[in-house]
Amino acid sequence: MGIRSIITKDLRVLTRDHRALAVLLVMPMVFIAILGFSTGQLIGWQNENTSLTLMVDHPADDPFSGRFVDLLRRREGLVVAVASDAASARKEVDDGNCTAALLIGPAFRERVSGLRLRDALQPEQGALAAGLAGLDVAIHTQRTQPIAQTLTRQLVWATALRFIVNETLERDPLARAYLAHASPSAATRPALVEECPPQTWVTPGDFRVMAYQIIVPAYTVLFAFFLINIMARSFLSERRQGTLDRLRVAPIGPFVLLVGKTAPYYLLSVAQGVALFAFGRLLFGMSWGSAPGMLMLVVACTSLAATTLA
Amino acid sequence: MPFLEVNNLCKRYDATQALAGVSFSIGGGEVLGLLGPNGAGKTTTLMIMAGLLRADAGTLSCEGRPLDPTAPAYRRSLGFAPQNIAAYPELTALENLRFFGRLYGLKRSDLATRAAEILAITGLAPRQHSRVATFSGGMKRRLNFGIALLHRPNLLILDEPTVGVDPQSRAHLIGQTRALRDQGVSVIYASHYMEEVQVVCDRVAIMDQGRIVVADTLRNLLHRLDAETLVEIPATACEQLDALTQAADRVEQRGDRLVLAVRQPDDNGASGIGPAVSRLLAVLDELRLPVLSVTTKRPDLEQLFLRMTGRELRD
Repeated sequence: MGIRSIITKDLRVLTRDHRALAVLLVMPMVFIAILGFSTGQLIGWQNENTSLTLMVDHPADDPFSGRFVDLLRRREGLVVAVASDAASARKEVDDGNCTAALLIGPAFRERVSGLRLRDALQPEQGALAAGLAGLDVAIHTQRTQPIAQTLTRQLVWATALRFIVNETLERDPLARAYLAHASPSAATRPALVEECPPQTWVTPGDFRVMAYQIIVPAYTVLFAFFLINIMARSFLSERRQGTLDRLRVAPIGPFVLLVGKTAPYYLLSVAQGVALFAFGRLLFGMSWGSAPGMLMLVVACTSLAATTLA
Repeated sequence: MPFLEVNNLCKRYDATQALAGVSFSIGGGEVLGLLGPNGAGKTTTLMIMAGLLRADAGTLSCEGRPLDPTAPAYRRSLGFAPQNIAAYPELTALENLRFFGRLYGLKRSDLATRAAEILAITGLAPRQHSRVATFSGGMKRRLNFGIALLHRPNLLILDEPTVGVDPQSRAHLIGQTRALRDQGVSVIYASHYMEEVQVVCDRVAIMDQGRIVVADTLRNLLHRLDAETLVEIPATACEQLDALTQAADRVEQRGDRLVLAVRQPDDNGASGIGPAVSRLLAVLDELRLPVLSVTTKRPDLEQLFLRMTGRELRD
């Protein structure tokens, strides 16, 4: 009875102390939200920012380069749009509407057609040693976005290699004969490499979500220990205003007093942890893992550690 | 047999001997005033009695039986109103009463009744749903007092219950304390206000430097001091000053009058005319000096207090 009375009283006092409530419940959310703003991970921004957007200019009357663009479209984490010409593709990049412009020149078909399978298998030594430039392909990005430029270049290069392997396999008689022998249906397949199990590429967005997998729990711990300050303030104000003496004179033991004064802050800390994880999931798409119940246990134990320390 | 006895309490804080053998007793339905200058040891004594401090030596006993001030049964019978306003400013008056009532194990229906009674006693019923933070100093004091009464204690410890309150609230608190005495509650009333103690207390214990200097009924204490009778005559009588100084204890001139002061033991009740005054009046008659006025100044607690504890300033 005594414990419940003290808990109820302290929770009531806390709900009327708007400053403490703000520090305990609102501030962690604001803090996390500020992080979201600073990294562009708030809800609504996330889908845009987890993908690289590529504006492509290629010869309109060339189905060969069109096949390469289709292959690019199938890449996870890459959004591809076709521009009317190279100048407008560059302008889209300069205006910040897309990550990069991919400019495929008129010699692309001829350069790819001149390659053999060994060029694709040893790209750093043969005709592909010049990289994308050797295929009459250029990438335009903003100078202030070196990471985006690098990521785009690697994605396009990897896709180009796959495209080249498919094309050279189609033309190689030995390879076609081998495929026909190994599996009659394989020879008719348009792209051997496409049959490989889809690879899970880590996109920039994935990195950010992974960051929140760390940041949200870290701030949960930080704010749980921040509670110590509020809890100590509660004890001190009881002492200053003389109510602690009144509680000590009451016919309740020290255990009742200690638990009664500690439990509200424990409950509050658990609520804070749950709110932070819910907030992290809603706003940043963080994962709760395969056993959210265990996560709850971690929150409960962290709160217990913080309140007992206080 | 006294209701509660305090025997030879001693308490030391580092180098300071706060209590050096404090002993006194209080009877059932009695109000004991505890007086003393700052640092005399009043609050330390009260805190030991409330179980908030442990004495280095000494004992408490209740109706002849040894008493453990931390025992739940004693705590249930003790009401304590500390010097600070010990109520939660964020809660309303009613919420404060309900909270402390629950701590003392009052049942829901009894608590509701008792809270309503306390609100009526303290005059806070119209503001029962207001937060204590919005109360005036007097209202807070009355609530502080009311919380101590909530669980119907047999012994009430009031540590300076009227500090900083207006005369109305003070009169109200004093009236309520007397009503409690009439109901058989023993009250220990620590205060610096002598007139208040003189009105409300049956017995008074004066403390100084960690000891009880004197403890007795108010009447007996006041009898320890002499009353003083002042006889006023015209200042023209200065010519007979020698005869007057022999007849009076003190002579002083106040404007166009001479004031002759005569001390006499305060054992004449309201009449105030003792042998010394009669002698002075006879001398004045012989000298054919007219008497303008005769007033008797009765001794009060403040005089006694200053006599017992001295006039030097205390820290």
